Amino acid sequence: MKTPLPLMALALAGSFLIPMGGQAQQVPDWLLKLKLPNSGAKASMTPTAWGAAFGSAYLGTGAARRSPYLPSADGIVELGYGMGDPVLNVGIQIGTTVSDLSEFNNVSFSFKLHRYLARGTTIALGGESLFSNDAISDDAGDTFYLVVSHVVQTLGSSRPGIGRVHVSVGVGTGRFARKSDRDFSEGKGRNGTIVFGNLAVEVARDLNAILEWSGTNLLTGLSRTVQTGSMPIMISIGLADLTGYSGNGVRLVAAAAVAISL
Amino acid sequence: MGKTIKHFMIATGLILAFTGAGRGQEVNSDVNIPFPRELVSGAPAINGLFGGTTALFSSSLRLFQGSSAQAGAATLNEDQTREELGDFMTSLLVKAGIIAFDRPAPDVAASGRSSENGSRPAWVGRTPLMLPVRGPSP
Repeated sequence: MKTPLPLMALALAGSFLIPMGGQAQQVPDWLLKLKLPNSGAKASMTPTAWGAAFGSAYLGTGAARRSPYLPSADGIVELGYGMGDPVLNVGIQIGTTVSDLSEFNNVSFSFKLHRYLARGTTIALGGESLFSNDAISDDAGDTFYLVVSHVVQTLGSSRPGIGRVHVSVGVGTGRFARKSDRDFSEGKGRNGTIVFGNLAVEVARDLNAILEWSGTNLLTGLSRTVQTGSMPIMISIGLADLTGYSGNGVRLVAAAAVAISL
Repeated sequence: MGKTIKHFMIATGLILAFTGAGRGQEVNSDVNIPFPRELVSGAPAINGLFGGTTALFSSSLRLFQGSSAQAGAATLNEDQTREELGDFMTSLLVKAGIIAFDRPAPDVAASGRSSENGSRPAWVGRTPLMLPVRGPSP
């Protein structure tokens, strides 16, 4: 990009007028070494504290090859929007989920208030499956959670774009604390662990290997983000219900999403 | 943009076709189906926040080092700085006290239209000031 000569001259003049502290600006070492999260998803079914902000919107779809105890597949479409500044103030993410792709009548809402703390750490308070129609809903109902996410600063590779380790730990109500009625009738107990967590290791550039505990079961997956101009595309695939703590066997889940800055 | 949307539609179609979700029947069930919601909304890149943050910042170091680079930085208004470094990193630099935004003097501020005419710079937003780095990391 060519800078017009008058603009450069004005900028140079302006640089002498701006207080500089008497010496050339240097980027501090801690900032150069700061590890922030990469662009891939950090979890499949558990929240992280990283959220949408700064006027960005996303549209995505997710699907499960099989529902627990049922042979039928299930899918969702979610449209969301992020606003605010999580670094200087608070980021706010709101979303609408359509969880009946055939009828489009099972709609719920979600939100996440998130704030960046320091050193690759962020905290969020959120809710999901809100205002869903209990008569037709197949989810766990209103769910609220508090989660802290962190990028481990002391682990990683010298190669850029590989080796970052992302962790999140949280507590929640709803689906994190209760198993389904079917789980209960199958003798798997009533309560989840309330505590959930996820671990995402950057195994290649923009590719994360994910392991997580949802409060009721163990999941694993891969998430890859493809940068296409200013509109990233994220594709993920995973295996849910790896243990017998809930459900009736391993399920395949997948998702794709795209975002745009408005 | 058209290519991106095409890629997204293909990826979505493949996933839906592969899983059979398009034929999925909704059930008022007692199974508490956990959706892969976070797969849809949980990627920071999807949120538009962190796409290439580290690499982007590294390539932008010239904006923050050396006297000529300072001048270069001073040519950017807040919007341009955020576009260059990303919203998240820009806010992080502000929080760390490395840069601050201040409005240009009235005789410097000009409209974008004036800039298009080549007569005055397009300082229509707040202008970053480079501050000395002091204190601990945020």
